[in-house]
Amino acid sequence: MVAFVVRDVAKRYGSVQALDGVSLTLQHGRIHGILGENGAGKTTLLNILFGATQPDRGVIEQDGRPLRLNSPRVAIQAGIGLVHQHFHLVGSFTVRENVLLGERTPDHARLDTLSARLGLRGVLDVPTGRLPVGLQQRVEILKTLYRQVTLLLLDEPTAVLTPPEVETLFDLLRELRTAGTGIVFITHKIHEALELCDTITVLRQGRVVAEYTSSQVTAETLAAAMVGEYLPATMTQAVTVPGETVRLRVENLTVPPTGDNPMGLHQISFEVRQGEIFGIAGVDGNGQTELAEALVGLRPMQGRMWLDGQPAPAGRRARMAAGLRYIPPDRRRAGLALELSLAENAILGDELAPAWRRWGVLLNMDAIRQHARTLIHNFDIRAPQEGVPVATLSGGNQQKLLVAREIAQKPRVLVAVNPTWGVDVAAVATIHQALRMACQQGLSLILVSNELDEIQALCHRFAVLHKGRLSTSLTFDIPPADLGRLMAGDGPTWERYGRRD
Amino acid sequence: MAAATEKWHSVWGTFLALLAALAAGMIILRIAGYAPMPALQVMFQSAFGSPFAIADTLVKATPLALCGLGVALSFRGGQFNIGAEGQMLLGALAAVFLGVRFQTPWATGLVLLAAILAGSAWALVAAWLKTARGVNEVISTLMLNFVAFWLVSWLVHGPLQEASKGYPQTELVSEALWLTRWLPPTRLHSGILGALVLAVVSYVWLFYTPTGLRLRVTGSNPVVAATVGIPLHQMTWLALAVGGGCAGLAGGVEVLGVSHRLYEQFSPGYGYMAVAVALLARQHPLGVIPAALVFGALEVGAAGLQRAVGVSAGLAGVIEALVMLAVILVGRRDAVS
Repeated sequence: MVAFVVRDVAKRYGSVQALDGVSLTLQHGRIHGILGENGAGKTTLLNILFGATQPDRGVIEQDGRPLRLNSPRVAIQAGIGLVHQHFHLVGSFTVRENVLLGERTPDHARLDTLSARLGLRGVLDVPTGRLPVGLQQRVEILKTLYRQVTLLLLDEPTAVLTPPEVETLFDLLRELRTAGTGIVFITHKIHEALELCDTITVLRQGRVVAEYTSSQVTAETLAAAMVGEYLPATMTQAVTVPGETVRLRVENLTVPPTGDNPMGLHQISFEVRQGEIFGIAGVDGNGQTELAEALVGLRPMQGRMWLDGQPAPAGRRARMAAGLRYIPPDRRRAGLALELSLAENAILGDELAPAWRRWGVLLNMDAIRQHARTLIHNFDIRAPQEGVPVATLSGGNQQKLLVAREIAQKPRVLVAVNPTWGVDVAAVATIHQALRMACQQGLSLILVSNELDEIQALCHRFAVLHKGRLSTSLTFDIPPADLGRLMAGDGPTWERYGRRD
Repeated sequence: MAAATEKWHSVWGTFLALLAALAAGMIILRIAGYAPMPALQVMFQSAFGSPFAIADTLVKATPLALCGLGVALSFRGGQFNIGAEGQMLLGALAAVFLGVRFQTPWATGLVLLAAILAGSAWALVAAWLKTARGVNEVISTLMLNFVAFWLVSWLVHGPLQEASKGYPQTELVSEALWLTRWLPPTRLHSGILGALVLAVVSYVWLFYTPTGLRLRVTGSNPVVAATVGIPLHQMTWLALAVGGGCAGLAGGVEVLGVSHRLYEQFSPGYGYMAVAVALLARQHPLGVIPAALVFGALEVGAAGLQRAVGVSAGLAGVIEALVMLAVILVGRRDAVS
């Protein structure tokens, strides 16, 4: 049964053609995957379906009649519901209050039935802020079901979930499918699309490149469709061998909980050898940023830390001088000064070095521009020239610049948090390759990532961070089920893999 | 290319805003019963109509440029220093204090240096309040303006009042220290040259030195600055010290070039207008010069309007304020988008 038809929808933002003539058929009782890289146009398509963005051309039809989605309100009336990647819940309100927010005539009986179906009956009167992320997502789904959606849109719903939570979500979505709800599942993870979806549409650069029935397609075909003819040669893994000497040792690193960091960090210990890539795995929001900031000297810490056998100095500048550099999780918030030029950003952190001086006091702009051109070349950064403001670069190119800058300064230890967040496959390959090469030359990398795939692809050893506690050092011979339980904070599993004091 | 086009768009937008504000001013004049076109002509005549008029505009533009530079540099460092008025008064105070004691011409440099240091010191009170106690610099610099005003008021009525006790004003500073007047009988003095030189030096400092780069990174995004190891507190102190120094110099130059003494109504609000100057210039040191000329001309034109057409000071002030508002509006829109 055909529910919604999208015909030839296009949308342009400035010089970027986000969507370029996309057509789709969405059916009741089917899970339709939209698969694509970051920047392929997935989110734009979603926003158009939800009425939050108006297309430049094209139409959307419901049951054969054209539908003008002027606003989300119209979309909700038409039975379309959206679950954002970042939840829109009032944390201090209970589940019931969140669902009934804005309803003039609350239907408690209906809410009871639906919440029982979603397994939320028991927490209806608990403030959503106290619920785990997986349940908060369910509340979002409950909100849409209460408003009688027939088409449920989900934007990268697994990004914030642990592996067991993902399984639960998938079970729920399958149930909803059986009940007749149409589901649009947006993702950039191929295996998720294959596991869950009936139909998979691959988007690339704003166009539908292919549509598959998932039972009749392989992961390789999907990957090729996502990336296009360009498959980077650097995908092959360059295995690095870590040295024997311990480069960084951390003992009982503790950060007390504060207002902006209610989690705190508890007695974290690990060591990283020269040339080693050490992973910190875990779902976002378990203290990753705090740990990274404590390591690089941006956040006061208790406990002890040695760099090359010497006690590490305190404070950011001193740790930088000792060779400890940092790729922060959010390039736009903490990594790059967006109004400044690419060239100026390329020397940040190193701006006092004699290499960039002319006549003792002035900046040698020629040398700086030359340096920026080298980075542009080596990392394939797409920019018209090195004098443009960084704000004009795409996210992937900004990220490459950030990574290029930190590696170019030849650190001894690099702490990188989600270094490939929000960049396309080609850029991921470039960044991974650069990190590996730096490690071959002796860099010790601490890779904090919420993508297990990335940790597995790069790291020699890793540990799991959960609620401010770090497990013992692990390798990938750990049973996958145990890893999932560790990330979810399962008590008995932590007994086995937790650190023994 | 795109950046250059955008720059021209913003210059064009600013120009349109100025025109719109003038038009609004003319409408207000019309409502008040004056013929708008002759009024506009009078304003233009009194600001640019003769060499004397131009000299007058330049005299007003000098302190506006120096204070505007100070505000622009502070803004670039992320410090919303709106205390140029007070910093300028402190600079003038230091200049007068030393200027009545020294007779030799070479002491001019010393007096101006003292003015710079006094302005800096005044701004650094705000820097200390911010870094030690977390006080927002907008509040503290504004409040310090009032402290400076009443301090001057008390001094010229008391300890520093002229020996004859005739008026609430200080003695004249030694004539040997006065800045050269280029076009007597106008008050055009060599200070404008100093403003030009300082604008160029500030430009080089801001865009072609490591410290200038650090200051701009801090102003652009303090989180980024901290991440790359730039000491934020130092930058706060630097941004305010440099800003206060420029405003202090404005006070010293005004004393040695124009007033030669200090009294209560020493400044018609140059330090406040400087905020509009800096915004109109988009915090660019070289843009400060034309921006200061615009506001200098506006100040002179409004005064001419009073004299020639009999428009009340209040109404002339309304027109000035409208132009400032238009400039700030355009600046805000850019800041938001």
